[in-house]
Amino acid sequence: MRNLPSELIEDILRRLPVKSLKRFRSVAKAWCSLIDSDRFIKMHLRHSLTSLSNRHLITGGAGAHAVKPPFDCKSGDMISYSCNGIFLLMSDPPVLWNPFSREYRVLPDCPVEYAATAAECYCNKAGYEFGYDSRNDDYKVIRVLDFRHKITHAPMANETKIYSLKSNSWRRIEPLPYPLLFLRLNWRVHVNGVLHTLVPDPDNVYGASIMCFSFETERRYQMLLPRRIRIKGFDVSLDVTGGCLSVVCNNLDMVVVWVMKEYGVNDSWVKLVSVTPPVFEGNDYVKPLVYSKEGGRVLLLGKTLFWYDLRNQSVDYVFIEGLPFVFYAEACVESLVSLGGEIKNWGCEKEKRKDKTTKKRDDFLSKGFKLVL
Amino acid sequence: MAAETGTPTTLTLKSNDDELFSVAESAAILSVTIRNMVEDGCAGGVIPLDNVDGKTLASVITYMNGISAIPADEEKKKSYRDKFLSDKDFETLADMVLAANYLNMSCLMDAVSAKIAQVMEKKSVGWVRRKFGIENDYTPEEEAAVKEEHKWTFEGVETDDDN
Repeated sequence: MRNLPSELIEDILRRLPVKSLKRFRSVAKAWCSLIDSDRFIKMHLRHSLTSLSNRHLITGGAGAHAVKPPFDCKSGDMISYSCNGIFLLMSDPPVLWNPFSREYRVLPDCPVEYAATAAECYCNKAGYEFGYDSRNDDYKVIRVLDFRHKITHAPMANETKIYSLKSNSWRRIEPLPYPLLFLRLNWRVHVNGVLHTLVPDPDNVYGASIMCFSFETERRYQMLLPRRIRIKGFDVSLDVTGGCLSVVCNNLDMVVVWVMKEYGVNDSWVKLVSVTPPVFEGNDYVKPLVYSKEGGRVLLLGKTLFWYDLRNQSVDYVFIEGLPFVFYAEACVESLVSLGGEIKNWGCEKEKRKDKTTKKRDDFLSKGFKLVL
Repeated sequence: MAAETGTPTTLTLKSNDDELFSVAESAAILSVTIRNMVEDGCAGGVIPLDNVDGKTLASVITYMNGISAIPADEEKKKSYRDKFLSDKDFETLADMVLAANYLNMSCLMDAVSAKIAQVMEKKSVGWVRRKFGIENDYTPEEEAAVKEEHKWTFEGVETDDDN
């Protein structure tokens, strides 16, 4: 038996996965308060992010959730990218979900305000995105409703609302200028509390630039593509690689990945990967996922998963049993981030208050699909 | 000094149970605490380390010598650290983290804390209480309630072997 000072215990605990930490809340009241504290939750997340530990790939097959959420959802409902271990399930109503702590929160109703819905127009399925506002330490969800003319299908109106987890309410903001729905895969790029998408830009030499939406300021701005990029003849998409904004230029003959090493600094774009067959099998879709722990390799998803060695420029295929033939993968870090349930205060522990919409259930998470990196 | 004579400077460290150890200065200054003493010129005689016992200090010195013999190659250093810690039990690891903290050796502290976390990961609540000397201040009802909140985290816990 050793009595370690509390700062050394904290230093040990911040390295543990969420499951162990949730179990060790039962050790003593002081451990419970520590593990539930906002300070510790942030410290734990920061450690996981900087040391590249507690990372997972969440994978899903076509139309199916390999990791079954603990609440009712239709198989067609999409799961978002992850932000600090939280996912957004785009069901009706949408749900914020931390699969690692098994906490989730069903978002409150958000009425449609646009009035001219009746006769001449229709509304597409709502588009949802979410992200983290570090300035206000808040998770936010955007809902975009895109109203179109019944006959001409011309855009008629766009109603954009934003939900804040802290206030647990929706409010209207200035409409996003591009219908999220039709570019939705492209909006799936969340870096530094900012959403990114590629937009046509006739004034730009490449004919395209990066549109950004900041969750902190709730404003839009534009960013330039890398200076020496070649996009003619390529499918161009945005992505996140090891926490950095990246541009993937892909055709069947070549994949080039650029990353913005320092967010917002245009001179920091570097060409990270440039690979041609037969080193890898060409595919119409390539997505960079994560760096290896020692940093020398990047995990890419094409037809299958493969590690790309940055030094040797060689490829190592990864085979994972049980994955469907066609699948999707998303890298994420596990976290204790709470979705706003009441944190137990042991001074008044008799109170069994729990927010109605914040629940925990224990009947899911198929292990085989939650891969530890 | 060292360079002129060709023999490396040696320091003498004294544990709190009065054991004396000789160690090359170049290895010992991995400890910021010792390096500061050397820089302040307090390292002429014996350096007393009041918070470290002989057994732990011997182990720390083995580590100092081992790691400083490895050239600047982070992967090799990492595999040395992994091997060095692989056979240590919890008590030894706890003593080492205290020593590393006192000696201000961040690389050792980081490695030992990570190792302790790895050992703890699948352990039971009872094991953690015993090893860390923590008193259970929950009433049985409270404890049952806390456990109930995260019942799923008690699946796959190792049976206690007290190692």
